Amino acid sequence: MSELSQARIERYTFTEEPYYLPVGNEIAVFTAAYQNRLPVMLKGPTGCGKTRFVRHMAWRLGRPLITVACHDDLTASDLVGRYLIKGGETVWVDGPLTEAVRHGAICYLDEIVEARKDTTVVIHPLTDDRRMLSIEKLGEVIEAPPEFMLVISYNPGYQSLLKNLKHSTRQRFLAIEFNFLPRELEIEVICHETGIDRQLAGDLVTIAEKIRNLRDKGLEEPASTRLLVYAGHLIASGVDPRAASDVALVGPIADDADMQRAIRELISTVL
Amino acid sequence: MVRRARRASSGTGRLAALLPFLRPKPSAAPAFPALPFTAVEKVLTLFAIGLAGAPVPLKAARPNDPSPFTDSATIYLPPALAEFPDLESDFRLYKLMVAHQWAQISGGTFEAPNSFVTLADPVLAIELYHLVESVRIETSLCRQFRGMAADFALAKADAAAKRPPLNGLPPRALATEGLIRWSLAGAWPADLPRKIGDVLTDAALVLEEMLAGNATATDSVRVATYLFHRIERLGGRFHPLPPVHFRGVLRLELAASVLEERRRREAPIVRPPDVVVEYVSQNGQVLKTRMTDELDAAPSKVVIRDQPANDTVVGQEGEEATIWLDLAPKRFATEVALSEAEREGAAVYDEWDYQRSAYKPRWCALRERVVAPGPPEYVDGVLHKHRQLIATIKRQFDALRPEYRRLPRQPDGEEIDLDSVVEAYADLSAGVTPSEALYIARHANRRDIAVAFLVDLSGSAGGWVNQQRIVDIERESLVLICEALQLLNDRYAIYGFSSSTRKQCDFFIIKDFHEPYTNDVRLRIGGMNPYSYTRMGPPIRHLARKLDQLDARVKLLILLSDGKPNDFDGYTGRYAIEDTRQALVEARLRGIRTFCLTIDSRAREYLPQMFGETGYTILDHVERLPHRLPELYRRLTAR
Repeated sequence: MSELSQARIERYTFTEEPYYLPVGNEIAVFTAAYQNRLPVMLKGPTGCGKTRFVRHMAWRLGRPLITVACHDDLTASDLVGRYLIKGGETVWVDGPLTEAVRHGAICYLDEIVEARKDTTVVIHPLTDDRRMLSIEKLGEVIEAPPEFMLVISYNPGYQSLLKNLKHSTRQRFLAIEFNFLPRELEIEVICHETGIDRQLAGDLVTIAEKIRNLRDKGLEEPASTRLLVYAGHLIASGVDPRAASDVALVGPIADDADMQRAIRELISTVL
Repeated sequence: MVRRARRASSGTGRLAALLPFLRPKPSAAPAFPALPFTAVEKVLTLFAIGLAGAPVPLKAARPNDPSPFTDSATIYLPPALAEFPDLESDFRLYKLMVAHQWAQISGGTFEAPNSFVTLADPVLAIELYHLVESVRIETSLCRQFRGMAADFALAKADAAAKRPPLNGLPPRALATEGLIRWSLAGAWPADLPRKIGDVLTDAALVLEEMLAGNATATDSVRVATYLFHRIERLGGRFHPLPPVHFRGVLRLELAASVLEERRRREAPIVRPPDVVVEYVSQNGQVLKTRMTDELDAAPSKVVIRDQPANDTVVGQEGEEATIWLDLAPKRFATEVALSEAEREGAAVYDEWDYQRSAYKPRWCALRERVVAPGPPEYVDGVLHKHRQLIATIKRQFDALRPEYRRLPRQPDGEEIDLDSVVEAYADLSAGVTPSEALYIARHANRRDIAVAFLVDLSGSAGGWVNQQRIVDIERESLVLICEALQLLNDRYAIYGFSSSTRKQCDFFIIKDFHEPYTNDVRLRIGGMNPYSYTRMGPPIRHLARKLDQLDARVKLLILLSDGKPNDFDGYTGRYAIEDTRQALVEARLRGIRTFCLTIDSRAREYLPQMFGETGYTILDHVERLPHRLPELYRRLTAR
């Protein structure tokens, strides 16, 4: 169990700058939040650059980044830590959150709504001016160093009404809103990430724009920048653009046969 | 290029050869299997939304009107296509028709000022304009969408092969037909009289020059007018030529009336100017306008204006004037609290007045009414009509049924939770009190949901969409949702509402929470009818009160609406929206989740304010409601 949840945790200390193209003042806002020790919530549709932004900011601020992908079996001990038995001895193993607090890292809880509500409560004392984490089993209370920062991501769009972030949780965070990139920026991101030429990247973005027009018309989450980048990678590896768009932009976003057909028609119109 | 001799070999084809200005009759039996519009309607509709970024209604034209056209709001398409041997090519032709008509609407074809009707031969002028516009539109579409070029090539080759023969055409028609062929095949027909050939060479130059830049519809008008004057000189009567299938026909007169109607609808409402109070000094200078508490100098006179020419002087020189104006909306000045008789037998609710940021206490009287039963055969009819859909929905809902779920870390249960045992053992060895939650329990996944459907039964529900009344579609959807909900243990209720003034808000009970889905309920669904207006605040408050008395983990209020809140005693516009919004806020404060499903395509202007960005869905096609409601319910309540 713990191996499984461990596998979902990524730790990073960045030596190279993760590529990120700013859209507005998000870098300045995030930096100011960091300096003022305020936790941040990144809101926006899936695949629009939230995770990339955190990685970039971790590099910029020179802090390690610990990412936890939340899921509905995530327990408080998964975050805080537990005793394990090794060679007849018991060893305490810090969870990712504790580790981040101890090392003054940025802790990024991705898709926080997926976590159980009783789990999210353990982050509460870390988000207000106390900035502390209590580890009951160790009888220890650790105070977060100034470098520690808590970041969560939250996607209000596709959540059902029954799955929402509690107000008591969400009102502890500053919110930076993300959305699909403006056309020119999105083209630039795709060119940079995949190496395909501007015209093809432009075509992919045109397709995405057309698909995004279908939002709320039967499509809950339209094509993300991430999927466009996937398509770009395939094209760069020699896959025919239409075939690449088909596997990246049809199946992943729609199940309904008519919707799939309509998206294919939009693709074949643009390409 | 494969030549198709289909038309020439049929009787109609021979007639067309003799009299080329006659349109081939669509009644000729198609040689290929036909692709009906209904089979591709949904895909084409989504395609059009994707292309246009906004819903563009698509409709099948009448069978005797087989060419696509648009009135600049709706695109009319042939009810079936059988131009190609394979259905796939026919589908691509449909797609081009949609793209072509959409490009006309969005590219300004109908908005470019023209005066073709004043020309000596308006039919010729419009034909030429359509041709020039088509060439412009196709160039621009192919430039924008590379993928469309292949479809256009296919369609052009097919259309070129189906053009009528040239012999026998009078000069004007001959020249126009020559241009059409050039626009399709990129070459002139051989054996044209020299006089006409010269005109066409000229025309081609002008067209190519126009296309080199970013031509607009206004350029097309200019070029068409030039061509008209050249071709008009050739003489002979002009009869309309058979349309090119993917270009369809241009119906300027139809679009003009739709545009006119839209302009009238969207014109700003002219209101009488607000009452203006001017404080005027001795030398005639205006010190302040409007009402104000502080003045730097005593006014010499105070003038109230409501019309430019209608001043009323109320104060005199040097005199300090005190003016009381009742600027509150007139409707409230005369309204008074509900009388005892008006409250009789009613639940009384406050109403939110956003202008005063306060409630008007005990303002509305709401009465519960039980709907009179409708015809007994109604529900059976619906069940029969939708039996296939019901089977599908039931299958989908079956997946929502509570199932057992393994819950780890329980104090008791059927299985031992090895993870927690290991952890407890580790804790024990470390000298920490271990947890006693060492079991895995199998728990039924309880849904524990109470949902109320609140149906707008205002008069507009009596409106018709595709030969069906909105209220009928609403009723059918309710029957389907009830059938589906039989599978789940969710508690649900169905209510309707309508109003005529605050004194008479009706709350119709169709199915109460405690009631099972009995035959009586079915009869009541069949008995639902549209009534008068839509005061949304009171029924929402009433329902919130009902839901509040229930004990459920999740309480959901789903509003089915067909328009803005509205009642004729001044409950309109922002006032009505703000009151509804406040009622919803009150409901949410009671822990009730709210969602709105509307068929009002303009709901984006006001619904986000009332239900939040993600708390509503707009239905493009009302007739899809029976499909969408169960789907939506499933989505809203799935974990």
